[in-house]
Amino acid sequence: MTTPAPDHATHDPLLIASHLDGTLDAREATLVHEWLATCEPCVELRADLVAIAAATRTMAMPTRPRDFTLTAADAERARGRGWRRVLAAIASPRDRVTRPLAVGLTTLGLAGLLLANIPTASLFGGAASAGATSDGATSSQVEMNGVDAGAGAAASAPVGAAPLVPNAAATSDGYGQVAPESSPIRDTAGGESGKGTDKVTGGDHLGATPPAATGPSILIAASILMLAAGVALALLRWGARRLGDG
Amino acid sequence: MLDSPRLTIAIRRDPQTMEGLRSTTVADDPVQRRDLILIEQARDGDLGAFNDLVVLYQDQLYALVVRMVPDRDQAADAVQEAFFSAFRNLKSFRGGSVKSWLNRICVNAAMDAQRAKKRRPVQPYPELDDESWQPPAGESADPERTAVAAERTRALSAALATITDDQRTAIVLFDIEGYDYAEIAEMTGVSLGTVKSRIHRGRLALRDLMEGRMELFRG
Repeated sequence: MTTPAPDHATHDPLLIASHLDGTLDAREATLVHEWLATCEPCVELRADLVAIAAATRTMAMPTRPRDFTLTAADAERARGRGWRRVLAAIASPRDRVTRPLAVGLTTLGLAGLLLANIPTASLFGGAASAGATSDGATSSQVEMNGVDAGAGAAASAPVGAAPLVPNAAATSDGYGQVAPESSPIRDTAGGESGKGTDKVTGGDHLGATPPAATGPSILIAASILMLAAGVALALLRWGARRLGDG
Repeated sequence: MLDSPRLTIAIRRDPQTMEGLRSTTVADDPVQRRDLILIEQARDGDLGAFNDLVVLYQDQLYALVVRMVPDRDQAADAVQEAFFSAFRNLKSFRGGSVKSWLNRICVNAAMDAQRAKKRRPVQPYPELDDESWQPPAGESADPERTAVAAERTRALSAALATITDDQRTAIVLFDIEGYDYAEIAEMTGVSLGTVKSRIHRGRLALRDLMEGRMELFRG
């Protein structure tokens, strides 16, 4: 006869439940056999689990509330052609494509727009910042195009500050600070500062690149397109599911 | 349709156990052969043949789904949706057991209903108050035993409705429908270990929930 075991709390009930279906390895099975030989609550637990499993198997059968045969109209509806079929597929909880696609497109669209609106200079150099610093304009007023920024800087540069159009940005240290002609930064980066040439700092090459006006506009257009597609897809999914629930 | 010769065959069939279905080949099994003929006719556009299949399996399938989705209306909708889906996908049936195919469609529909329930919760488990649960087959006519059996079913139904959807699905498929771990893992898209864990944890949860009523089950 088993006796109450003070250490029953340390016996893992999950192992006892697993023992019921014979899914334990040899070591665990031996452990459970020991518990069952010495611990009354463990024996009780096992007996209860057996009784519950048996009762579940012989549970009463619920009666069917209605007939599920299909009418001709149902059959036609079930066949679902064209957009109805597409909507049904989108509305299905098993649909694993629409949601991530909508989220992905929307995210890409937003990221693209954000990227397109960040002044290029703040990412790659101080061209735009130079313009902003020199004439007090905010960075948002400066076109993100390095050329425009550079041009802006050149146009607004104080007389004598940097007569290096289109490389007005060359006076920038790349961190929004306008370096004087004799700046050590310029000296170092240019390598020929002593000659007072118009060599530019490494970070300012953008100011010298030829105009690339289509770059940002393509990015913006693609971003808007992706954002619109993502939002449209999300709305379509939401609508399809509402229809399905209705 | 009720007078159709196909239905006569269906009504005369002997109930098959899960093991029986698994151990017989399609060629040997008249039930399988009949089901395959009905499927073939349904594929050719015979709605009556499909409806014969519905008549044959709707009770079993409803019983399966209502245990997974305790709300009776949602369960009925899920079964209807499963039959719609089966009809829509007749061409995707690749042979084998028609009953298993329908069961899988119903399990998917039930899991969809469980997800929908999470999305739009309804009043929980109204079936607990109704008397539509039939006593188990073969139950003694003794009123006291019948009352105890009914009480046991009520307690178990309430507890089953309370555990998680995943645990309930695993227990219903394993204990009631007789699927093995691997089949349940495939049907529900989780690992074998997860299935075992859900069944064992589910049973422990049932025991905890019925702690004060275990005497109904012990004797």
